[in-house]
Parts: sequence; structure tokens; C-alpha cells
Amino acid sequence: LILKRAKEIIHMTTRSKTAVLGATLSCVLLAGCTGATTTEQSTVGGAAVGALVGGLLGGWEWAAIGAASGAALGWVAGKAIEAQEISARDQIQDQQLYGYSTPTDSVFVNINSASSSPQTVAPGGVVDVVTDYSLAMPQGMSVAQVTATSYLMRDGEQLMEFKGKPVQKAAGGYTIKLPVNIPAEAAPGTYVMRHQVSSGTTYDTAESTFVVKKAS
Amino acid sequence: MDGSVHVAPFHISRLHCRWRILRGDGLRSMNRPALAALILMALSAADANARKACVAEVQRANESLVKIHREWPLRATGDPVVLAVQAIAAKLAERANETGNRRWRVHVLRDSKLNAFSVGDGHMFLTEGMLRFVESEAELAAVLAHEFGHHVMGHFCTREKKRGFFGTLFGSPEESNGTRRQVGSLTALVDPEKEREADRAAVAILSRAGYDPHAALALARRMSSVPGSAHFQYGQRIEALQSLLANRPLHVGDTHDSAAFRQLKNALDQESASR
Repeated sequence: LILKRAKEIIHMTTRSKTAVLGATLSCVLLAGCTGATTTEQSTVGGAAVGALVGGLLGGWEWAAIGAASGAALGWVAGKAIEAQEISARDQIQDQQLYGYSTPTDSVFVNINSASSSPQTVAPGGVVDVVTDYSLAMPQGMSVAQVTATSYLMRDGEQLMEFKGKPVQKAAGGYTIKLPVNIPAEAAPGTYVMRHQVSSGTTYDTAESTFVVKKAS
Repeated sequence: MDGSVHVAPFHISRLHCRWRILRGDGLRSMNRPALAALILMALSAADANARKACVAEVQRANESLVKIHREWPLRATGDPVVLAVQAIAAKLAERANETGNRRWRVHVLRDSKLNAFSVGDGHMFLTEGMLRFVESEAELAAVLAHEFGHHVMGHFCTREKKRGFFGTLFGSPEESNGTRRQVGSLTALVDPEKEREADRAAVAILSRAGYDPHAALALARRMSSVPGSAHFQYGQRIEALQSLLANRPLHVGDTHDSAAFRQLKNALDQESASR
């Protein structure tokens, strides 16, 4: 019952540069939610609206898309998300670290590690969703298009989707840090974050978990 | 095969008999039952050798496995999709009586390309693209049976090096008459004759397992029309399959897909929907 998604571009200043922040609003389960536009920290209609804002930093632009089930469990607050690429290894360093060879016919993407921290968080807190991956491509190929997405799940049901826009990346290792704001209304319990990175014809997935405590 | 792999139960007997022949005892000195037993033993030993992984095969398979696990995104062994394919492979092996000498292990690559290959020692790799492409359990069984075929025909054991044969599809340094194809960082040596051999073996395996062997031909035809899929675009494999199946009646038995196959398709569909 997702009714409408509106987009707008706003500008924000980062440490050293101005980056464009991509915003995506998802309206969920609202009969009156039509043509709504929002920026960070806003809600629409004062009711259950899955609205999160994607940010661009380090080459990533993210959008968070709410699902009906997400809204039902309190994942409704609109918060800005700045995805950061906090470290990178060049191809040689990455190959030395993980012991793989240069493929000859395909682009390969492999998730090396995935985590959500802290493991336990209170409503209103922040969980850092970290994905470390390797990108390998045949010699002579300078870049490949990479798409990273994280899915927030609970009891096998998808609540939110944090989708990065496709970006061009050179071969090597990358670590993406995606801070996810835990809504004050988030239902307590164990959540599963499914990390996914895709490039070429391959993709890889991994899972991490965190626990939302009861609000005190 | 390498000399080191001819460790069959009848190895000593064969040597002993050969010694008797060299000594001049000859075949005439052996009574007929003994000669028949000798032939049977030799045949069964050769058959056992073809079906069993040889030492070189195991070693090369392990090397390829290490490379693939480092480089390719693979589904975990406990993944529902992997379990479903493994269950179908186990059923195929059991029904076709191919369980004796090998442990069949199926790995699923998170790759949308249309591909399936083996590295020896019972290890088979199927891409998700292939799993999505097959339209029935019989077609999936045909893919698996072809990979079984490479194994049971002894394609992963190097033999007759001097004559230019190659016995392994991956990682073998020997020259071959086949075409070299790159699969990741591995080099696949694809010999059309060995592909046709594996197809012939697959038809027999499918028949023994109660699957319709015509599924192999149907799959080959559909795959040959997919751009970039080279599997059936060389070596007249489709023509060979056609003539092989020409006199075989269409399967009239149970053609329903098993619960494992439906589970496999459902799991893939659900994942697609969530992405």
C-alpha cells in the first residue's frame, strides 16, 4: 500500500565540501498521503509515514524506503542518513589481504564482513551498519558499477530498504558505514540487517543483527 | 589416469596374471572361468576407477575450490536454495545408482550468468542464473546429470598425457585439443568430445533416475538461443543429443516437480521480490 514517493534535492555542507543530499520520501499506509514532499526530520500528516532521507558522501547517495510492516513496528520517523565510505584498499592491497586473483571474464563482488553496532541500542539511538566488500574486475577494466543496499528485517519480514544509488568504482576494497537512526517508536526486539552489494552479474549478501531495547 | 590412481582392489591380481602371461603361461594355460573372471575384474576395476576420484583429481579440485571460495560470491551450505539443489542432486544420484564412489556436492554461485561447471571430486557449481533458467526439475536434473557425466567418465583424471589428452576441466596444465574458456580466474578446458561424452552419460543417468532425458535436449535448445551462452554453440552437441534421443520414447512417468524443486523456485522468487 505504498502510495507515493517524492524526491527533492537539498544541499548540505560536509567537512570539506558541499555535497548533494538525495532525499526520498516514502509514504506508507496513509490514505491522505499524496504528493507529499519532505526534508529531514519531518513527517507528513502527523501519522505513520515511512520517510527517511538518503545522503551523499564519499560517492554514495542513499535512499531509505519504508514498508507497511516497517510503519507498523514504529519505523516511521524521518532522519537523515549519511553513508560514508570510511576506508578503501587498492586492488593490490585487497588481493594481498584476501588472496584472490584477478578474474579474466567477470566482475566479482564479495562481502568480507558485515556488522551492526552497537549490538544493543535504545530507541532514538543510532546503529552503524558497516559493510566491507571487495570488487574485482578483469585487467583493462577501470571501473564497474556497484550498488549497495541494506534491508532491515524482523521475523523474516522486510521493514525498510536502504538503497544506495549505483556508483562507479575501481577494483579494490571498500567499507561503507551507514548510520541508521532508530526511531523513538521502534518496537523492541531483535532486528536483522541484510547487507547486499552487487556489480556486474554477481552480488553478495551478509547479515548482521542488533537488538532494540525497550524504551525506558 | 595417473599411475598412482590405479589402486583398484584387483590391482595385484591383474599384475600377477600379466606376469604369468609374460612367463609364457599365456591365456591358454588359464581355464575359461578364470579368464572370464579376469576380464570381469579388469572391467569392474576400470569402471570403479572412472567413477572414483583419482588422487590428481582430488588435489586439483581442492585447489580450484580454494580459488572459487576466495573469489566468487557463494551461497552458504545451509542456504535453502543450496539445500534444495543438494536434495535434488542426492535424489538423482540415488535413483541413478551413482552414490557408491562419490560424494556429490553442489555449490550455488550468486551470479546471474547462465553457467554450470564442475571441478572434480564431486564438486559441482551452478549459477543462480542457471537455477532461474531451468523450467522443470527434469531440466535441473539434466544439468546435474551432465556434471555427473563428466565425473563418471573420468574427465577430471589426467591420462595419456603424451597423446595430448587432458583429464580435468580446471586447473590442469596439460595442453589439450579443447577450447580454453575463462571462468573467473580459472581456465576451463572444454573438449567438445568430452562434452558429448558427458551428454551421453547424462541421458543414461536421467533415464536410470526416472527423469525424462528429453529434458536435456529441450534445455540445450533453449540455452543455445541465449546470447552469450556458449555451452551448446560448439561441438554439435544439440545434433548429437538429437540423434541420441531419436529412438527414445518420450517419458510417460511422473513428471511433476518435487517439493524440493518448488521450494528452490519459491526461495529464488521471494528473494527477487524483496530486491
